[in-house]
Amino acid sequence: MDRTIRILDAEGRHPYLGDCWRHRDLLWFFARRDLVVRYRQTALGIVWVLLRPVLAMGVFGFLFGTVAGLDGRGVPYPLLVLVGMLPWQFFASVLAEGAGAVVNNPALVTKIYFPRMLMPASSLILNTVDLGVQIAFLAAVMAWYGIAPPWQVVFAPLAIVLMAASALGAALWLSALTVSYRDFRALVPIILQFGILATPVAWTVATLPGEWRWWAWLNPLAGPVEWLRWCVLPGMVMPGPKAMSLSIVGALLLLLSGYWYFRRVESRFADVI
Amino acid sequence: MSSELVSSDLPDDVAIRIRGLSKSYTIHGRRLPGISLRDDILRCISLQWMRKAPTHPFVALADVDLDVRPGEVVGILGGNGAGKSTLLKLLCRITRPSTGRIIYRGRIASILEVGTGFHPDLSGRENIYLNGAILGMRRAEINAVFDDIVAFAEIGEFLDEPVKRYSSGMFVRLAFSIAAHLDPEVLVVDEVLAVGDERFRSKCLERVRSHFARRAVLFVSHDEAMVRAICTRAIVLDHGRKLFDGDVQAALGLYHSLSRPACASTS
Repeated sequence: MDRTIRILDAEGRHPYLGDCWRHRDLLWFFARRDLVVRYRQTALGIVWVLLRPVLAMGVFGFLFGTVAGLDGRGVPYPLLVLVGMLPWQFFASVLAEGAGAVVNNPALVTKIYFPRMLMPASSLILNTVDLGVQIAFLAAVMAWYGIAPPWQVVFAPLAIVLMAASALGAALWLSALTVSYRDFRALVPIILQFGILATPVAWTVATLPGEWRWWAWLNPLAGPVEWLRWCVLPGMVMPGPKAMSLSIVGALLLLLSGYWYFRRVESRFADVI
Repeated sequence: MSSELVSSDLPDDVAIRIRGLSKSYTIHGRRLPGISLRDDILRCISLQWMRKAPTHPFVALADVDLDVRPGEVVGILGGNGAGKSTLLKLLCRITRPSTGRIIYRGRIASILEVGTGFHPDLSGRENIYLNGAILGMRRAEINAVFDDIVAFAEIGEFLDEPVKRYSSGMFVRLAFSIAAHLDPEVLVVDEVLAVGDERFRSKCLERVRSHFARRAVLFVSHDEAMVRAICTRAIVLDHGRKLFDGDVQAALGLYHSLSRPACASTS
């Protein structure tokens, strides 16, 4: 039996990360709930995970590769798009699902205590599973094209970690802001609409004219996307140390500031939602 | 901080101690803060924030003291707006106290509203795990009582059906059953025993009596018979203050005289 003496007062000095750890099972159950709910009573089920990037690959591949005649830098252009699409899709899904995680469950917020951060964080788990399925698909597509990844493929996880940090940071910001200001709910689709164009998903930074490249690197997602391309496909340009450190600092800033803001307003959620 | 506490703050025979507990909400004359981003931005631009906005503190709970020993079932009585819900929310850590503190040993769990956190598309089995975790159980703890939960809820072959196909009776039976198999040191119960049919209600009451016999239970209900049946003590709240603490019968008498002042004066 738990004999720990605990205290609740105005300061609320409960060790927060310890609380998250105690409730860690909840992370899995939230993720499983969302997984089941997403695919139950759908005819295609898990196929949807692949359909989205494949459709994007087809559309962008046709538009930019065939119509605009962009060069795939030694690999088939659709493949270039697919490798860009996977981390973007991951980011976009974590952001969209995480941003609504708190406001979509008002009953939980006003009735029961648990660390609220688990709600947006659980979207990370579900989408990591999706990403795993998509990576297996990517491997199959590359095998079909007869393209082997270069040796630096072992560094590919860095791209995913950076994407996850940025996505979680942005999801923490948006989910906390949406509790007070529903305006941010309308902002999410706009971010995603422009984000997919501002991020090197359907294009690469190396094809930009020199003076424009720095603008592209200012987007914290550009680093991980280009890093993943360099790791997975042969003949790509490695993002330079300046570009990568910009991405790493950006992702860390987003994550830490998101954590800070979420914690600052979390105790008011039940009063405001 | 919990580690700095010495045991003298909480004697061994007290499960939960409340001292000087108050909660006040700030009511702004015009509106609650943070309703619209546009309003907040306009307020910043028009420098309204430099003038102090008129605020009225609304005291929902004022300076409440309470000790509950293991084995006690304390009824919390009071009319609407007396501060019952605020007290429960503070106990469940949904909001923070303005002043004062709550000291307790172990875990506080609540059976607040039956079925909060249930998802209609998930099966009974999946909801047991999800809801158990929301209520603060670890996966291993849920595994240990899983069969008991299913048996108590009497849902039988519907276990793997989505709960949206359940009858409302089955739904509340399952929800209550999960909460009834929690094992906290302090349990907070709010109006939920009014579930299911007569037979299941008495089964729930029996469960609360036996399972929580060595636990501290705080029980909020407007159902007088229920309070009389399971509470060993009761407090009466009025306008956020504790008016009375003691015998259940006397507390119910006071509660009635508060809610029906006209009748009380004639009798």
